[in-house]
Amino acid sequence: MNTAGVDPVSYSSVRKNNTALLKIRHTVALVTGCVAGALRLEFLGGLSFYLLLWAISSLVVIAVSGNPSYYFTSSKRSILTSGIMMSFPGFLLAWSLVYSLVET
Amino acid sequence: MGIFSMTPDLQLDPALKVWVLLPLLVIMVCMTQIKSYLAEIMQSFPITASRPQHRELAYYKYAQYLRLNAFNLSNMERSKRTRTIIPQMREGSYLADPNEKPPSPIPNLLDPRSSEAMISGMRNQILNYVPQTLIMQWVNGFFGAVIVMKLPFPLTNRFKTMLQSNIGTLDLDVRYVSSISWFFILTVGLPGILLLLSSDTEYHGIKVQGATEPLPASTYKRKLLENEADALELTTSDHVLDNALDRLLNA
Repeated sequence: MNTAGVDPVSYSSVRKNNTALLKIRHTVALVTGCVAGALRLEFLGGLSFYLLLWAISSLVVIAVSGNPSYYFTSSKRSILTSGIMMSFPGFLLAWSLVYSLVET
Repeated sequence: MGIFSMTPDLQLDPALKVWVLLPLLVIMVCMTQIKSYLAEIMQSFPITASRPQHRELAYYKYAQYLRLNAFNLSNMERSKRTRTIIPQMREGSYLADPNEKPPSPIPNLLDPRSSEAMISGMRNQILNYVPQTLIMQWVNGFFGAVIVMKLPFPLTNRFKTMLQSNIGTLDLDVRYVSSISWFFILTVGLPGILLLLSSDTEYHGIKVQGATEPLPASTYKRKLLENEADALELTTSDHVLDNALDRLLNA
């Protein structure tokens, strides 16, 4: 039954959790980029490395939080894909930079 | 030699890393931080509602909630409430400004409340584009016409004119790019990474907590309240407890 006006979601907490998730994403992207650059992975190797670590970090987030719907307003599936485009530029930056720096 | 490149590897001067890649990184980090601090300083605080505006908003919301949750009230209780509030809303006794005139369809540019959104939007645009354009010009002039790095991924030839501008070799692999593309990569990649440096609580763009915004200036509040009163009058709903006994026993 509709109970308008009573909203059980604390939006400030959801926002805080989303920021935390975003920071995890960016950290993973940064570290992945540095490692991919240091290993001198190219094109598909680097991309698949990024996607692999992305998936692993998403699973870790889901596993640690138990039930993500308690912390985020989105479902499990959208936790898996959220922010993948947002943190990709960071990965690209770290990858290109480290790749260029370690070039012999 | 990569899988996709047809040209042999170029030997890049290692000094380019020290004198182009890293300085640009430092400059862009500083600029992005300065930009975000400026945005924080220059952000406009939301207009908070005055007491009459608060009352107006509260009654407007009250009418909405009453209409949506009417099924919780018995008929008598509901009519008791609506009988009081509908005439008051029609008369406009809760209006913050009883002499309000209907707003003209053309936004009044002198009214600070209607132009606030436009000005802040313009300010953000200026804050974004002016430093960006300046730095881009500077990079082009200062580090132009030099191959500074090899990208770890191949690109199609269409990117050649953009990423290898001023270089003028026709068949150089697109993976070798000039400083301007390092600038592009920094522009798109840095904001995310610098987010890690910002503190948890005060990421810019978050409004002051606890402030209530008044009903937007562009609406005609008298009409708004009248419409709500009409809706309230027309809504009929059955009380949840009507015939509850029958429903329970027949189930």
